[in-house]
Amino acid sequence: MNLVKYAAKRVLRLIITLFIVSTIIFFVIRVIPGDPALIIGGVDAKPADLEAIRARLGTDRPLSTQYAEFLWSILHLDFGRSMISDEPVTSLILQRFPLTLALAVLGLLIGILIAVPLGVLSAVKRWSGWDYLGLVLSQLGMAIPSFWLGILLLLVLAIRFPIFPLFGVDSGAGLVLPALSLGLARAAILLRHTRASMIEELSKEYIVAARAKGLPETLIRYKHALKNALLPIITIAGIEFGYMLGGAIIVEQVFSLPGLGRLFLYAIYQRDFPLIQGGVVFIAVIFSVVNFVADMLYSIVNPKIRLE
Amino acid sequence: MGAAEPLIVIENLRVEFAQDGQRAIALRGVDISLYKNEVHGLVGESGSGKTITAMSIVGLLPRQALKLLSGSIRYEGRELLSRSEEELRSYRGSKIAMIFQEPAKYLNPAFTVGEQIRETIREHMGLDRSQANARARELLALVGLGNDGRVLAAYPHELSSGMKQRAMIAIAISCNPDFLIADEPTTSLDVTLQAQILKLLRTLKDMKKMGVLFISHDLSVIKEIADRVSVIYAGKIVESTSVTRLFGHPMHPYTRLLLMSIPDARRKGRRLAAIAGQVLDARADPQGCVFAPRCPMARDLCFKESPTFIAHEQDHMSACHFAEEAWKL
Ligand SMILES: Nc1ncnc2c1ncn2[C@@H]1O[C@H](COP(=O)(O)OP(=O)(O)OP(=O)(O)O)[C@@H](O)[C@H]1O
Ligand SMILES: [Mg+2]
Repeated sequence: MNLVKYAAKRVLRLIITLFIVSTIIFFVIRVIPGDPALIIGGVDAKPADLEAIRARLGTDRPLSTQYAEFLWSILHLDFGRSMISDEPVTSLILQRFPLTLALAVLGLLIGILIAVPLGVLSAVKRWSGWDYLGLVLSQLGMAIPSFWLGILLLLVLAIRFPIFPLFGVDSGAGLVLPALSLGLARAAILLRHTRASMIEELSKEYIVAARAKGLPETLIRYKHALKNALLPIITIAGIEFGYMLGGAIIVEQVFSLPGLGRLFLYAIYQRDFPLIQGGVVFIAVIFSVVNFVADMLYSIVNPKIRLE
Repeated sequence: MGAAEPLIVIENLRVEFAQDGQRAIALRGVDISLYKNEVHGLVGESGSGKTITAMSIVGLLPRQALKLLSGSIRYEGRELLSRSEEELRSYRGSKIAMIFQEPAKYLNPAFTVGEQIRETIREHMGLDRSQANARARELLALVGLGNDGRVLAAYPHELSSGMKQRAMIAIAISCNPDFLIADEPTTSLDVTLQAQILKLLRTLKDMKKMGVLFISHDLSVIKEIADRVSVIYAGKIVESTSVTRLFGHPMHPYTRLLLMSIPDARRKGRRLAAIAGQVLDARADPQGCVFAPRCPMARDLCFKESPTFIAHEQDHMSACHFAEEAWKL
């Protein structure tokens, strides 16, 4: 019951967010220079042809009419058709989404699997070899641009030692390298947070109390401290995941993957208004859903947060 | 009291910290004998070494201090200071338990009260989950938190501060310890709650025949709960005797001055007599009496020679060259 009320509140907030975000994007893409008709017709198209294209796209009508129409169709969950390919925006996005989702899940998984154990180990054995390894990895992970890492991975693991395919995702193996280059960057961020969070928890008074109870050190670290230390990590991981679900433009470019990032990138190049709008709404929805799930997880782990 | 062998004997305990290349002396010779079925009050100002004394007994001193530890702490005649961490761990929580000043901080916010009791029981008593749970339930009832299982399933933040302290007490007594160390357990509570917790501790002590080391900076609390009192000043025990004797016939000038600074109904309106001067610097290691620089009756001898902590009268120890005169102050 409580949960239903909470969810309803979140949905209401999402609707308000969507309204604001889509309104902003609607006007921004129309204010910035660039006319879709010109892109479709080409630079040497005759004015009459351009007029015809504009009439077909509906961009010749007053902004207010277009805006009202846009809101009306959004209310019906209709995002229109791509101005370029004439395919429905929704199906364009849904076609690309599974790949992006798989990449994001793998990326996050790799990030967490590297960051959490190493971060915890770094905190527990401060200034040990593990800690230095963690520090070096997180420095590198943050300093190295993901396109460079992607190219490096391709050079080594697809060309020099052809373990993984160079292009495409026909087999699952094609996802490994892109997911690695995404995940290593996530790992760098999560590692730092895990280490800091764990160190903080280990210095808390309840740790002294747990020692005074005569509990073994392993239990104190990996039960008492870890559960508390993971709380902020859940939130951060959720945000990272949300970002990745919006598409990873650079990694998709390097690995020539047909993900959401490139779809939206080309939509912007081509001033494909409906696709841009649909994309923004989609990202906002995904972000809200991921946040919601992260909050739910957080509340399961953290008894102090009651969903209200 | 007194006739039996002491359960814990602390002798000439010295603890130093290495801090930024300098040494800070936290304890400069602490001598305390602790008995079963007796509440021993340890009273002193902030920074005088009360918590460090307590932590030494359970072997939980901060790392920087471990190398600079000397003296002796014996439990039933066996030395604790030379024990391995693993051996000490089997004492903690099962033979010697501890409660702390701020239960809100010393309880883990991420686990239920029940879980925090059960894990202790399972660690030391080898009970299975359901047995531990039944025992946890009984313990909560014993400390006045009801036996309907509500507190068992509650997280610390769902409890009031008085309830949290009761829960911490339930954890502490969960394995029937011989000895309980209570480090200012009532300082963060209001007067009513404080009285309730003191009463509870007293009841539990009588019931379980536990020894208790009750730490406080508040002499009026000590007067209420303790059978015997040790007064600590700058890391040294300066006086130790029964409560009645301490309040009626103090032998150390510091105790005397402390007593004069207690707010007292009869002296209401009169300014509290603050003790003049500064607490001894932790880096200083004077050859004379630690209290001499602030002592209104210090003489030449006091600055030259450290007084030994000896019995001046039966059951009344004091570290003052002129202990017999102190009460005339
Ligand atoms: N980790 C530490 N490093 C260095 N010095 C310390 C450390 N912990 C305590 N000390 C010093 O040891 C001395 C005794 O501290 P302790 O905590 O025992 O005082 P206390 O009597 O419990 O005071 P309070 O009433 O404030 O709790 C103090 O002078 C303090 O500065
Ligand atoms: Mg203290």
